[in-house]
Amino acid sequence: MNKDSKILMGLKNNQTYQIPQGYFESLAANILLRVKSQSRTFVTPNNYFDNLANNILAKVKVENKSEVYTELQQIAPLLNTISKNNSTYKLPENYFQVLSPKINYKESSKVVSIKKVYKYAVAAAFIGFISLVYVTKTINQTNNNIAIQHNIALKTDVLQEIASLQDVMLNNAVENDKVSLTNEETVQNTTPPFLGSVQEEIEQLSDEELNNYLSNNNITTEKEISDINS
Amino acid sequence: MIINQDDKELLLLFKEPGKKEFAFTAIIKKYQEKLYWHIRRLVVVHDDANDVLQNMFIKVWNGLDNFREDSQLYTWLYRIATNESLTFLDTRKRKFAESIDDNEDTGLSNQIKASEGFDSKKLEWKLHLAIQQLPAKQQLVFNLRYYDEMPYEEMSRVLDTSEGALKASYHHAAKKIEDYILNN
Repeated sequence: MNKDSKILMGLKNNQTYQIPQGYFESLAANILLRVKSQSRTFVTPNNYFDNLANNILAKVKVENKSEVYTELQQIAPLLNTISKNNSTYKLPENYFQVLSPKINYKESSKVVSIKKVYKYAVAAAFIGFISLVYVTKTINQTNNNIAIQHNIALKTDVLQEIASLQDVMLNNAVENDKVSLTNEETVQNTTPPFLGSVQEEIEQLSDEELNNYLSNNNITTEKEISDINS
Repeated sequence: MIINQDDKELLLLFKEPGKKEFAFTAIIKKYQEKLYWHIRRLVVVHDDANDVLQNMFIKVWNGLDNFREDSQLYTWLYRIATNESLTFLDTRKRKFAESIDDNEDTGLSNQIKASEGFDSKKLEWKLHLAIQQLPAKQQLVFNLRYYDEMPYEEMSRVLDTSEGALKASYHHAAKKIEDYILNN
């Protein structure tokens, strides 16, 4: 046994199996690495979860805008690559937070000015009313005067027209040597038919009827009477 | 949150004497940003956009009592904002024509170039410049579709134009803008 044990003892020190160089130096580190990797089999890119929500939202937006996006993709795809956010144009800080009070202020200042305008409007309306009364009175008076003057002028004009018409016709007749100025019949024949009939009608009227007509029409002067009769 | 209140609810509130201002503020808050950017893209300068926006909301205040609820508040607001912007641009154009002898440069493209942070190489700025090359109506159609993603049906109510004409106008506008960006 002693002899055998000596041989065995000699064999014990001889290493038949080879191990990689430095195997034991790195063994602990390798085991630790495996232990760690058991809990995380898949690896994610850096900051993957930080950007995930934004990436999903961007995709959702693209899908929701599909109609506009697809349409532009067919016409001018370059424009789909341009950011649509409003970062290029600058605007004052907190502009939208202070916008509404500003607008209300403007609106309320308008209300104040309307109140002022209302006061002036009442004053103007009062002055206007007084002016209107005065003007109406003046116009009425003027109208009455004008009406009277107009009536007189109209009557005078008509009488003058009739007279001048007769003169013209008489002159024409004289010039043509067709009538004698002393012959009443001839003069009557040369007068226009409508004037002749008026004269006939006047001749048929009684004095009372004539006086009524004259008084109703304010014809009082002798000249006017003679003018109508002539 | 009043911002999420339904338009019909807001309109009913506006008709209640004691709640008029509350409802009006809620309407402003709900639509101010969308309308501001719609106006700003047309008139370019912030101060001008602010004037137009405030004037349009004052018109809304004056007209809201007579607003017919069968049409959408949103569409009506866009109509007023658009009309106010176009009126402003017309007035500006006339003033510009009068002062052109004085070498005063009031072109909107130059206003864009003078904007804070302008960078001629950035696509976003090129896009703004390209939009300014379009006629006013095409600008409106492009902005409403591209930025606000407004359906043609709704746009047709805002601009009083047929859907077919709007589609054609948008196609022309997008093509012209792309060409401008590629060549500048």
